[in-house]
Amino acid sequence: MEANPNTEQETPKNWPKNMPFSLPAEYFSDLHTNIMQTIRLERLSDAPDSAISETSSISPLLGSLKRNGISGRWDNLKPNTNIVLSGQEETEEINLKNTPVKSLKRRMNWAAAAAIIGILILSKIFMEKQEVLHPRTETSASNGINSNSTEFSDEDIKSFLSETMALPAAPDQTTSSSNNAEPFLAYADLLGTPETFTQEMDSIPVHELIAFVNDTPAMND
Amino acid sequence: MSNLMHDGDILRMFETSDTRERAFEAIMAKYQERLYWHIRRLVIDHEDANDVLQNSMIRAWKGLNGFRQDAQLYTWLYRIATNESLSFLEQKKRKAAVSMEEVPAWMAEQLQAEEGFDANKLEWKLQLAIQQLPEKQKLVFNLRYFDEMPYEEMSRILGTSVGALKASYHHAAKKVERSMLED
Repeated sequence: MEANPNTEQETPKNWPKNMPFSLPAEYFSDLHTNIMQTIRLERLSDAPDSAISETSSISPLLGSLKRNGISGRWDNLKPNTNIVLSGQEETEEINLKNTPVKSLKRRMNWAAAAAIIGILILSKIFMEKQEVLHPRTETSASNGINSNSTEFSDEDIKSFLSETMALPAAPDQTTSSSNNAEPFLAYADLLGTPETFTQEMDSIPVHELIAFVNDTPAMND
Repeated sequence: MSNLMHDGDILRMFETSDTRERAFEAIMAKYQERLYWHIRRLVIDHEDANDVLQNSMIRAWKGLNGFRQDAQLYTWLYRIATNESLSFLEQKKRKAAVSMEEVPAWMAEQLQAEEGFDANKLEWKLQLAIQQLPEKQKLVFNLRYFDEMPYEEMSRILGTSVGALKASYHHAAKKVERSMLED
C-alpha cells in the first residue's frame, strides 16, 4: 500500500510502525494448514448427511457398504398387509378420554367426603344397637336398688309391706279385712327362724295341711 | 505465487469445487498476516487473536460464494475480522464483568501482561496510549496508522463517512500524542 502523506502530517515521524507483540515462530507458515483443517471439519458437520460422510472419513470400507439391507427378502410381501393374530379381532382405534386433572381432583375430594360421612353414620348405628342390646337404664336401676337396699332396715321393709299389701288372715285370727296386713305379720311372726318353721311344719299331719290349703281363701281376694 | 494472483482469479478458482480449497489457500497466503495483526492490535493476546482469525476465515469461506465483488476482497475480509474482533472483546468484557469506565485500564493490564512488555520502550508506550482510546477511534487509528488504509476503504469497512473518519483519526492521534508525552 503506498504511503499516505496525510498520515505523516498527523503523526510524529519518530513513532514506530513495528508491533512489539511476540508470536510463535513459524506461526504464519502453519496458519493456512490449520485453518483449512478447521474448515474441512466444519464442512463435515454442516453436511446434510453427516453420519454417512463421517463414517466414510473414518472408514472407507464401512462408508462403501450398502445400507438398504438384504435385497429381495421382503419382495413377496403385499403392501398394507394387516397381520391379525388368531383369536383377536381388529379393534377400532381407542380414543382415550383425557380426564382433566382438575375434575379428577374434585372427584377424589367428593369420594373422601362420602367415605367420612359413611363412617360417621355407621358409627352412630353401631352405637344405637349397642344401647338396644345392653340398655343402660336396667343395669343402672338394678345397681341403684342394690346400692340403696342396704340403707333400709327390716322394720322399715315390714312397715312398707303392711301398708301396701292386702294379705289374708292367719288361721288363728278372726279378722276378715282384705286390706289388713296383720295376718301376714302374724304369719311372719309364726314363721320365726327357718329351722323352727321346718320343725313345726314336719309336726303337722299331711291331711290337715291339705285341708288348710283348700279352705284358705286366695290371698288377693 | 499466491501474492501475484489477482483477487479476480482467486475468486474464479473458488467458484469451481475442484479448485476451491486451493483458491482459499491463496487468499490466506495473501491476507493472513495483515488480518492477524489487525486482530492482534485489538485483542492483544496471541491465542485470542489466533481464535478470532480462525473464526473470521471460516466465516469468509462460508460467505465467499455470496461475495458480490462490489468492494475489494481485502476490504470484505477486514470487515469480517473487525466484527469478529469486536464481538470477541464484548464477550470477554462481559465474562470479566468489566464496565465501560474500566475498559481502558483493563486493556492496559492485558498489554502489560504480554511477554516482553517494557514500559520504557517507545513501541510499548505507543500501544499503551492506543489502548486508552475509545473503541471506534482505536480502530480508525490502527487502520490508518499501521495499515495505511485509504479513508474510502475504511469507510466501507466501518460503515462511517470519510469525513467522520478523518475527524476521528485526528482526535485519536492527538490523544495518543498527549498520552505519550505525559509518560
